Amino acid sequence: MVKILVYGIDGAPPELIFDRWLDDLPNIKSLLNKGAYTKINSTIPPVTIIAWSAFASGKDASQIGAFSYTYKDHLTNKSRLISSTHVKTERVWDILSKYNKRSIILNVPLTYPVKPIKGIMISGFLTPDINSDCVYPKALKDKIKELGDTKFLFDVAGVAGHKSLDIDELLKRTYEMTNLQINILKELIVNEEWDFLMQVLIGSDRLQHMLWKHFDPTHKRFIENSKYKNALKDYYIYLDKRLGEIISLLDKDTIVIVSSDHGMIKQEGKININNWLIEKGYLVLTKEFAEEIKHKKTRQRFEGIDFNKTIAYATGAYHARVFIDQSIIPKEDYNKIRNKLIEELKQITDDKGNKLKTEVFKAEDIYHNPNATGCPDLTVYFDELRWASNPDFGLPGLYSWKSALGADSAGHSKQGIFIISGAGISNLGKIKDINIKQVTPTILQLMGLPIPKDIKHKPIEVVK
Amino acid sequence: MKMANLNITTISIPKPLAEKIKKRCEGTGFNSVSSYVTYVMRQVLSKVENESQPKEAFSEEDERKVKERLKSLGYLD
Repeated sequence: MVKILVYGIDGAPPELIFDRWLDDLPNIKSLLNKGAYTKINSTIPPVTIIAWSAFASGKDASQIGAFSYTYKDHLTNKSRLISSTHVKTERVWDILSKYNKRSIILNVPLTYPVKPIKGIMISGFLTPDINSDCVYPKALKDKIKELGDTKFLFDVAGVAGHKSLDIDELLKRTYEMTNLQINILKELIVNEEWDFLMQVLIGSDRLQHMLWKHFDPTHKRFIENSKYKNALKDYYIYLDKRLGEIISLLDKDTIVIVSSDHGMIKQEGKININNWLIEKGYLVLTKEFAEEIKHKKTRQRFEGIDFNKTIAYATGAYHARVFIDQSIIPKEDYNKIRNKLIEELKQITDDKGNKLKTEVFKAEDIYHNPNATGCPDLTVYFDELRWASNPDFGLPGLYSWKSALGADSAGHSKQGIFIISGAGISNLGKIKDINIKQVTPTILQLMGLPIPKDIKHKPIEVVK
Repeated sequence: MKMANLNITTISIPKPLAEKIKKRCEGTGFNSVSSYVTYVMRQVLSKVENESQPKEAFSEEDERKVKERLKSLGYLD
């Protein structure tokens, strides 16, 4: 009977894992040498919550029913948090449940509140706390509490107010979180029956955003001889060591997949996309909000937008999602306005006036259902994501280093890592790049199950 | 293929109902009446168990809490 374990490392980039640090990661290296590995193309855009959902469903955001961790509530114009109740498609554990296969799903984004499956589920980073609807079956909660303090089980920050965490505290909490997450995983591996087990460790993403400038000498804001220069590498060494412990608990035939959902890229700076839309006349703020942001930096929020006068506004971070309000423009002008906007977006330069390699995707280029609610009209990668898009208000001009919430030094990039090894997997070494939506059909194929007709992507060719 | 599994028990349902379910299963991912019934019962029970909870996934307080947490991380997407 085939058993598959997915060890998800959020945001792990091929440049660090495959190219720079592989010799320090013996367990990952061993899997890679015995099986097949490649770069995995993330979703467009590479947003954590969507990318893992695409990984686990073979579908895109328009089919999943979510485009980011927040969405615009059209009744109130307020920004709301996304939850599993918005998910319109089956994910791999739903399919496996139908075939009586038992799954253990741990900390995968977009699983809060948990829904019943055949097996066990502990929800991901948007979970409020252990007292919420975060464990299925509920009876397992007491066991989890016995394993450790659950304060940082779901993410590294508690309710810490508005300022960013300092690095020492971030590191301490990241290790505390990851340690408990993996201890739970190990406990369940040994004591539960399962066919499919998947865990997503979010700590790597949380550290990379903040630590990049501490180790990369080519970074614009590189901090020489930082005391944190090895902190990210040390965390990966720790993840690799824990992976070794996990592998030692598995039946020898278990297939192991190590994967990330996107990569990471050093950041050159931020482009204040909504300032630009205001300057170009596409976006109009309410008088009150325009007054408010003169005095303080404020997160992008829909309540501040005058929707009676606004043609386009943007959300998203690192990438931009641009929405054109079709209710205030003549229908026949839509394509004209959209094409003009694309051309103008491509003309945006960096802060020194240098041309950027900007990519702009139309909804129909990247989504199966381009008319789905919440679907952006345009998705923008400034300079192939080296320049981040910042949707916040109250920052002067077109360029900034910080968002309204503080500074990070790296953003999400297009490609992550994918390694697969175990019984029945060919020793192919490096294979050609794959798409993140190929993973679910691959898992189903390995388990000998039919692939639902609405999954259009083909399994990865790794079976012996 | 039937595997011995100590965690499974037999439950009686009327034959016509079983026939109906069998037809319903055709062309779906369910490979047996048992797996369909198990799936449906799991959904129903979970719904009943959660009826006392609010319909919204996040209470106002929980939503505030999670948004604050994301803010404190400077987390964007």
